[in-house]
Amino acid sequence: MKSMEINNKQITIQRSQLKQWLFLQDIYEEILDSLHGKDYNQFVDKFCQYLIQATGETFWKDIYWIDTVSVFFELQAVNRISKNLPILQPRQITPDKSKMPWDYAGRSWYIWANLLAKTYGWSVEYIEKMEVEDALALVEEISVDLQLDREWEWQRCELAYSSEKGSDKMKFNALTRPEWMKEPIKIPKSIKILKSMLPVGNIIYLEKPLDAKPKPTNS
Amino acid sequence: MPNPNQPTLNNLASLYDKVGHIFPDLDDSKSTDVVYVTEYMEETIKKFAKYPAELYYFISTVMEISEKVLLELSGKDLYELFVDAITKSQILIFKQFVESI
Repeated sequence: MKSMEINNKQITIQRSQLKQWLFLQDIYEEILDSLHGKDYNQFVDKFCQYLIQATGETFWKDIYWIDTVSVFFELQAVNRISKNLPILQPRQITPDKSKMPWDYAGRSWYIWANLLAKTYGWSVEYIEKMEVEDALALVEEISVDLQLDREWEWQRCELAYSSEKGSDKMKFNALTRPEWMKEPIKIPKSIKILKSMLPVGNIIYLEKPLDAKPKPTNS
Repeated sequence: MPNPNQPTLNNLASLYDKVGHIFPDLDDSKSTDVVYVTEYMEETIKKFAKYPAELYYFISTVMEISEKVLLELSGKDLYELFVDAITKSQILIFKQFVESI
């Protein structure tokens, strides 16, 4: 916990509990959306909404902007997730951000509360005060269980198999996994090759014209 | 009463909304390099010269001088006011901030 003096008031910078953290994440997304859309009026509104939600103070539009921004950065730092969870790793494929008809601002908290309450039978009051990193790790476990259940169902379903052309054999088409559950792409290992296996003579670089003079060798 | 040397987020965002697009992209890694900063300022001045309405709006808003007075100033005076307005407005720090989040 940290304290900052802003506008003659002591502002406490502390890590948010789950419900608060999710609301802040939703507002942060809206801050980014307004910046991408170059809507600076909305940007200021959302930015101040983030600070009001996090601190309870309402004077953010009337004070020196450096103070406003400093508090924002402190809040971002204190709420950063330090656990290295696969579900939080950057994805190769950007997730589809198009909204469903039943989506609305601030829905994240209700999705999480529903997921955790349904799985563990905890009360909403208990869930909203959870430590964010524990909740994230549990949501990852719930997602893994759900995916493995779906894969089990899928492999027992006719639709998972297709016939191969010119063969009687059936081919199994695995259910696609979310990006964070896939094996990360590994950089190929460098392998030593015997000198005797290397090509002999002058090497012609095909990206250069064929009539270019070969490089003189030192030997 | 707000301090004119300490703009609010609202003031700066509104100013940036109107003239921010004219400032060229910043290279943060070179922001302490004197040569880079000089070249950046030259490029900015060239760009603003193509947008006189924005140039007058920017100087007039930040320096609190009416546009009518600005129209009567020499190019040299206008240039000096423009450089002062960039510093006073803190618009380049705001641009860095907006691009960093």
